[in-house]
Amino acid sequence: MNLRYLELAMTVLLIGVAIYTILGGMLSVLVTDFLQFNVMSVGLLVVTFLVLHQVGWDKIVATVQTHHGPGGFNPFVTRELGWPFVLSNLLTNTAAVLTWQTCIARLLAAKDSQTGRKVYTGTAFFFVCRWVIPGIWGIAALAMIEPSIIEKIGFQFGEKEGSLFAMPYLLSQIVPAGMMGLLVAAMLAADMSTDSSYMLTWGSVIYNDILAPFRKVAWSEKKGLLWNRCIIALIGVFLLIWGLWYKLEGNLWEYLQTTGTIYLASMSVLLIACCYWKRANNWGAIAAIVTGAALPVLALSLNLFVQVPVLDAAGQALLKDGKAVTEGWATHNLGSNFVNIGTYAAVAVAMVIGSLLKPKREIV
Amino acid sequence: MNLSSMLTNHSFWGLLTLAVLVWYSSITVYVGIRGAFDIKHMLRKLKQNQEADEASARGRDPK
Repeated sequence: MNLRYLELAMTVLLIGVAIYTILGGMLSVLVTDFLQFNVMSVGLLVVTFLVLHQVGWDKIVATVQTHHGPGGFNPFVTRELGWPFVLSNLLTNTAAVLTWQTCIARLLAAKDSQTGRKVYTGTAFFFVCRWVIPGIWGIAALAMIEPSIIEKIGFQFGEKEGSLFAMPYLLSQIVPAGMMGLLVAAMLAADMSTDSSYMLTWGSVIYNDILAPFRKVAWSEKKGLLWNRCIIALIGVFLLIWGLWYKLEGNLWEYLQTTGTIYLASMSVLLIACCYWKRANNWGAIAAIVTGAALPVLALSLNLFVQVPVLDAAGQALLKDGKAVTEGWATHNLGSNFVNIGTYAAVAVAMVIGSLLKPKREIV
Repeated sequence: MNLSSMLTNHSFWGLLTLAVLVWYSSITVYVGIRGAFDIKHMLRKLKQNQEADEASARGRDPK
């Protein structure tokens, strides 16, 4: 099978999602999200039960023990993870729940604060589900698939790393043919719901907040609708290029975390400071936003343009297929966890200093 | 799916996994049923509002 067919299918899907999001707006996203949630949830649950039944809990636990030792069950005891990993993810996920647009758009659409509070208290545990379920699938793949098979599959698709195909390969082996249709529908539903949410929610941020200063006079409904639709289409193009066609090297989660921090660090610090600190002001906000963007962008740039050779325990350059293994400067010297933690800390400091630098207005 | 091994072999992760499955299954059923009613009610209300707007627009324009 050629991976290009998958990219083509995803492209067609994204165009379809863009069309109904542009034409139907929030109403179409609401109804389709509901349908997609049901299809996706049933698919995920059925497959998870199947995985646990076929692979077994004991084998899953033994696999984690074999490959990761005690660190596989407790991140604090392993050098590769440790407290920086836990703290970095705690900051990222707290900030995301507070300020990520796809979360917050639902909260702000609630009819009153009581309903908004129910949205969060009722669905908070869902964040645990969305981490545990794919994790179980991944561990099951590690338990059941031989590394040589993974390498072969990666080769077949022209990929350096075959691990991306381990979980899909496992599912193709254990999911019965009849249920495969449900699983594919679940995956498509998850993708469509994500695409439409991102297009609509970020489109509303760009229209309502970023374009607001350019609207000296209120725009007609027709003009506003046209602009919204154009913004949604452009976001769709961005998703296509950056989310699907752009070939990412390295650890996907670390990349997502670092790029997400550009927004999350400043917005979450800003939100907390403005709610609970009387001295917070626009100078602090600007300092926080600039700092929150500059540091991750600097780290990403250093990783892209400055490569450092990876050394083994004896201090010799690590080789793979005859070539020296390298990694980005920031990853090598700081690690992505410290880049994230450092950004949040620097943003908080920038918020405080920026706010304190602004002269207090005298009350006459 | 061996429930007893989930409760004894690394029970924290076993219990968490069980809690995830039970919670997610319950929520799926609840959202499926309740959501369908809510959407039906919402669409009915939107239709009523649209008919009311059209009626008042016709009332304002005697032609």
